Amino acid sequence: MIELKDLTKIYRTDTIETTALNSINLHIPEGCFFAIKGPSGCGKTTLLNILGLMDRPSRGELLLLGKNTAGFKEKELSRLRRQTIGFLFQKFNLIASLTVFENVELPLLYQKLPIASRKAKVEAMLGQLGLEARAGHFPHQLSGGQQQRVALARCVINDPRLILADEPTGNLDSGNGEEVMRLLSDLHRDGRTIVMVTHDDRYAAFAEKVIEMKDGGFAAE
Amino acid sequence: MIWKHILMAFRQIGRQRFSFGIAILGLAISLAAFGHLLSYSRYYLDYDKNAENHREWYRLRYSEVHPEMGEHASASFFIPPARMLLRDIPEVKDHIVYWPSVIALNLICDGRSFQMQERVFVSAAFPKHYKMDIIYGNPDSLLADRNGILISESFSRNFFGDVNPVGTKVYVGENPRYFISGVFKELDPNLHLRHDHYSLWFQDDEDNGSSEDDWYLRGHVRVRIPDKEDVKIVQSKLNEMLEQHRAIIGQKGQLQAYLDPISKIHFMTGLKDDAPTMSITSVYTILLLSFMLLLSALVNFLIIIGLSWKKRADEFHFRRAVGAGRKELWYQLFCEHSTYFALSLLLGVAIYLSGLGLFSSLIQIDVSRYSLLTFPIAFSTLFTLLGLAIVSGMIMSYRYSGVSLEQDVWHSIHRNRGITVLLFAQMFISFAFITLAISMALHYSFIRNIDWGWDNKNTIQYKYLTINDEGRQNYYDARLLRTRIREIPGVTKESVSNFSVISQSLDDQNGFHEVQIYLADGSLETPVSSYLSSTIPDFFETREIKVVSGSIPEEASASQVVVNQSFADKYLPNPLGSRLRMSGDEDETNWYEVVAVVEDAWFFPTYHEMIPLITILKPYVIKYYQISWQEDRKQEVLPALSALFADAAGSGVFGYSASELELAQAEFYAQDKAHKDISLFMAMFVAFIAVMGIYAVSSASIHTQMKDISIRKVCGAELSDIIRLYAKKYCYLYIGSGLVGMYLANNLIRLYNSRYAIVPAASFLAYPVAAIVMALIVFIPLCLNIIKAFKADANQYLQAD
Repeated sequence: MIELKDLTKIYRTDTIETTALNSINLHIPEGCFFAIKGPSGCGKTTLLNILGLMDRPSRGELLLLGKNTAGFKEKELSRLRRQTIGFLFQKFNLIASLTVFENVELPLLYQKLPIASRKAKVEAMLGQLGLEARAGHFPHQLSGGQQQRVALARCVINDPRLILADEPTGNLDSGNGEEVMRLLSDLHRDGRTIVMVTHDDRYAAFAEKVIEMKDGGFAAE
Repeated sequence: MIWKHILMAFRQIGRQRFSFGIAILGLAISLAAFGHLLSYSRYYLDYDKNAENHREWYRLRYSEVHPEMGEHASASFFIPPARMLLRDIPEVKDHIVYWPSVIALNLICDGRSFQMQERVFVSAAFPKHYKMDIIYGNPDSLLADRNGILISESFSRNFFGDVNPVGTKVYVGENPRYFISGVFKELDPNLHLRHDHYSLWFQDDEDNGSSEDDWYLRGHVRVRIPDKEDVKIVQSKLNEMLEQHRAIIGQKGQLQAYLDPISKIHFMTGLKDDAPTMSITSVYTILLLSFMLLLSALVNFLIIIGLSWKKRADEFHFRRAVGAGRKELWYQLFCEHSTYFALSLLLGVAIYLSGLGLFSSLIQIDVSRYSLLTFPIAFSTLFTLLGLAIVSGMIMSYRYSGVSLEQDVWHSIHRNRGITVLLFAQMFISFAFITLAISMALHYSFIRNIDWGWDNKNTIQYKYLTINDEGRQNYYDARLLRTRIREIPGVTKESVSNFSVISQSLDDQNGFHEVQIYLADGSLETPVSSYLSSTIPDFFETREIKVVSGSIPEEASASQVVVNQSFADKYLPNPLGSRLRMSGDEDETNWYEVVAVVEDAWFFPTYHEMIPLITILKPYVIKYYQISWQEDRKQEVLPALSALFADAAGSGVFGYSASELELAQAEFYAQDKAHKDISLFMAMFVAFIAVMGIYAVSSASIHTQMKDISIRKVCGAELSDIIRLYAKKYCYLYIGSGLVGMYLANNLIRLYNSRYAIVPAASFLAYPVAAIVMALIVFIPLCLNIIKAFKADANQYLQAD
């Protein structure tokens, strides 16, 4: 599914150069639940962003579904992201001015699906997650757990093969955190590849494989 | 505390140099431009107001009402009764007469030609009326003698240098006839009867032996009536006087006298022998536009200040956290706002003063003479602007001082609403401005490039009174002069006429006589109105005026005439062979025959409609000579012509004058050019302000929505999706402001065009062109901001704090 070859990411300012990822090599097979652990600033999120095609490596290669993404233009990256990847964030990242329905609908909108099809899919997804009664609500009218469920619904609405979760339980209480992890496990069982960044060993335990990062590289596997 | 706030304001300017530069400098330049345009408007609005007690003075004019043909209003009045006014109408306390003679004399002074295009005769009270400042001469006897000539300072300096010329003799031919009686300081340019030399008409108590024949003399007559209530009485007495002299005057219709306040005559339209110096609507349009320009800059100023405060929401929050109340925040923001505004004001005044010279040279009027300090419109605008700035500053300070208290609500509910309203105002002003400016530019281009219908290239016109007769004393033989002109090397062709081919106004002085015509076909019992002039047959071929039907004989008889297409279209469907007669001609057997119809030709600006014109083909007197030169031989031909006319005039009493046709035609539209240039300049400035305003607003509004854009990006949105999303709001603004702006522009364009007889369809291209220009102004800055936002690192907006 994903292959990283000698991947390096360096951030530069006028005076400082910071190596966020240092010659990483990694293979993530399709259908795998992968957890990445590590202290703050070790490069977890940078790695996740590169996997999600939101950032480009300074050096090395990223092969997604066997395709080398290095030469892809912004438009091709957007298309690949839209068709293949779903994101889940710690702070949910719902658009405040859109309703729950509209937030979940967003990826389908950019896939240019007809309105009827979008409506059916969103309603089904909200029903599946027990959010049908909240469809017309705005994010600030929901609890944290509900917001993360909406974010999860938005993440999977376009049926992505890869889900990237960045501390998805970080802003939730343990009950809601367990609930989100249970949902992610369900998605994994359905055959999706999941890459999750977490600090919490309890949630890392849900993964098939856990790697630890340190100073831009892998510390242990 | 106030100094701290002012210091903070300067720090903010330093931190956001670009946006504050646009806001402050934009407002300052607009203020300066507004001041310049006010001075320009004042130049016209103050016309003749520098005359002594101008509110007590009225122009006297008459109109003639025909039962069939309506009212023919004239700007002039009969000269003989003007002198009876003081004697017969006690309500009239003073009067002046101004009569420009159509005949130029061959005057010689100090052995050189003393060229005066026309002699201007005035009554003795004239110097007092225009508050003349006398440099040389006895102020009490400037116009005491009919042979005295009062000249201007510039005229004197050009001819006599720095010498006092008073007493110098002026000869007609070889006979000493006149003398210089005084030199006056240059008159204000916006005086209606301004000239550079004046001669006495008659002393009021002088017996000039005026006879009934003198009633044909008409000129500019002014009377002073101190009491407004008396105006009606004077008018009624004047009507009685005209009725008594009706037989002498020889007019067929009912005569009616009018008294117009002299400050208004400058803008009057519809008078047959006078054109307004400037359309009053044009003056008000300029005032309105300049106010809109100022408003647009003020809106921009407020938008940019508002956005800068929005960016400082965290700072305000921290200030509150350390104990500042809303009142203290409001006070700080208001002080900052006032500092920015005061800076703009000071800069504006500095730019106004330093730019006066440049603006004056652009419009060719010395606007520095028209102080804004005593101009009520300037004061009311300044107070309005100050009021707007203070009120808007107070409101904005109040709102933004509360940002930190209600930040969430602010962002989610009131997002940019106020700024959107301001943006709408700015866009609609820009729309109106740009549409108007483009329309004026197209219209100007049309009138400058109009097909005049005749050949005017590389041609000069001499005005010189000659006759087709050999050996008549004091007159030069026209045929001989033509022969001598043709002999000049480099002259390609010459033509002659009794009308000026470059006439600003259609009046007798320019050779266009308004006449009533009876047609012999019996279809019309009542006369029709037309213009009459004369030329010789070869004029049409020489000046390349096409013959539509019939033919023009090489040697015409005195009863043969040519009519133009307009005359034929209006009165005679089959004009060839038709006969016509002048109304008022005593000899009713005196019929003219139409031998040809020629295409319409513009011998006048397009303020006038194309006139029906009858041209007699055998004139006795010849007044105008049009001479064309070979493309590259102008420098050779013009001096030769000048020498020839000097030689011809040297042996007679008549003088001559000359003007190059293309320059004179450009002079027709000098005001239009100034208006067009001003409008285009202002439109460009408004467009610049609008681009900056839209860039600033879209930049700030997109900056606040970076997180939304990042979320959309991770959801798979492409650049085009984001552009479409944000362009939608601007599309609504664009369409809404476009409709309002173009509606306003349409009204202004109609007002502006009302002074022209013809309006080209091309003027309407202004609307689509303005729509395209505005689309670029609105959407390019927006797209640039969206591209910038899309390229930004989305991760920083998506990660946890």
